[in-house]
Amino acid sequence: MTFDPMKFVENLPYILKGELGTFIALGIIALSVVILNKVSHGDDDDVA
Amino acid sequence: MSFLYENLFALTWQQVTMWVIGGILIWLAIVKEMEPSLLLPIGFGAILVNLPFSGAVSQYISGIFQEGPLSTLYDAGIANELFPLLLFIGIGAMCDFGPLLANPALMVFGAAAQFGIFITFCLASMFFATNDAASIATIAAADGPTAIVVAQKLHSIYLSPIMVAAYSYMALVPIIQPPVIRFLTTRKERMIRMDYEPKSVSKLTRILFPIIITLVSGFISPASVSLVGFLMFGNLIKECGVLRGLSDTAQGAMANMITLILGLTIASQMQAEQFLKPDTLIILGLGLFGFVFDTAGGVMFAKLLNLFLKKKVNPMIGAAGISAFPMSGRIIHKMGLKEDNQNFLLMHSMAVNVSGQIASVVAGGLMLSFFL
Repeated sequence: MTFDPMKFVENLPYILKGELGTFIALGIIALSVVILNKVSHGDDDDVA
Repeated sequence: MSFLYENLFALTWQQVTMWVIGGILIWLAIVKEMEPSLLLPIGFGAILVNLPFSGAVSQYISGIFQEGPLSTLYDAGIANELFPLLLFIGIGAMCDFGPLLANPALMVFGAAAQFGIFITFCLASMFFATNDAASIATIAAADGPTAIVVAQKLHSIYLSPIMVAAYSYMALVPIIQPPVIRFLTTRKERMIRMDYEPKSVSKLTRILFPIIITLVSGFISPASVSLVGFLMFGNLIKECGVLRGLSDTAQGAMANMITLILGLTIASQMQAEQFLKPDTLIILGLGLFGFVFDTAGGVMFAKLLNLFLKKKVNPMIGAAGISAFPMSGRIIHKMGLKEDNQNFLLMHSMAVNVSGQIASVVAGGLMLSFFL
C-alpha cells in the first residue's frame, strides 16, 4: 500500500464517466418504461 | 491433557480480537436486529475460524493438508461468484418494481445515489492499486453480491475485508443514513409531502421490464450482464405469473439457504492473520465514506431538482437510492413520519430504493467495464 494524492486528481474524470453512464442506462430504461406504459395501457392492468 | 494446553497456548491476541468482533456482530444481529440473517452467521463464523487449529478452514497441521468445510464452500461458491449471483435471483424475485414502473421518473434518484461509488474510487486510488480501489469503491453500492462479483472479477487481494465491510455496512444503514440526511436537510424540507396517486401498470410492462433492463445493461456494460441478468431473471420468474412455485422458492427457501451459506463462507475469510491489518481499517473507513457520499449524492440531487420543480420532492427520498433494499426505503418512510405523522413517503422511497438496486448493479458493471 502506497500513498499518492495525485491519483485522486487523475481519477476524477471517472466520477463524470461513471455518473453519466449510470444516468444514461437508467434514463434509457425509464424512457422504455414510459413508452411501454403508453403502449400497453389498459391491457391486464393492476394498480401499483 | 497436553493437547488442551497446546491448543490454549496457540491462542493469539489477534484471534481473541476476532472473537470480540464476532461477538459484536452477533450482538447487533440479536439485540439490535440488524440484518440478523447475515450478521449472525458472519459473527459466529468469525469465532469458528479463529480457534487455534480450527478444522473449519483448510490448513496445514504438522505438514499435512487438512481441508476445512468453509474453505471448500468458499471455493465452490464465492471464488467463482456463484453464491452472490444465485442470491440475486432471490433478490430479483423479492423486488416489486410496481411503484417504480408507475413513476419511472424516480429512477434518476437511483442513478444520483451512486455518486459515493465513484468518489470513493478516487479516494481509494490514493492508497491502493486501481483494481483494488475499484473493488473497494463498490462497497458503497450497499449491495453485497455486487461488491463480491466486482472484487472477484478484478482479482482484488482485499476480497475478504470488502465482503465483510459490504455486508456489515448494509446492516448499519439505519445508523449511518439518518444523521447524514438530517445534516443535509432542513426540517421544512423533511416535512415536504409527496402525494401518491396509484397508477395502473400492465402485465406486459412488468414482464418486459426485466428483459429491457438486461438488454440495456448488456449493451452499456457487458461485464455486468451476469449480475443484472440474474437479478432480472428472478424478477421475471415473479412477474410472469406462471412460475409461482419457483418464485416462492427463489425468494424464500433458496434466498435463505444462500444467505446462510454466504454468511458463514464470508466468515471463512475473517481469519485474524488475514483480517487484522491496517489495510482493513482503511477499507472499512473508505466503505463508510462511500455510504455517506451515496446518501449525500441522492439527497443533494433531490435538492438540486427542487430548484426547478414546481411540485417539490422530499429530498430524503434521494437517500433511498442506495441499494440496501428494503431497509433504506423503510428508514426514509419512518423519518418522514417522525417529522409529520401524516407524511407517507413509503411508495416513493421504495420506488427509489428498487431503482437504487438496478443502478448499483449498473455502476458495478461500469467499474468492470472501466478496469477489467
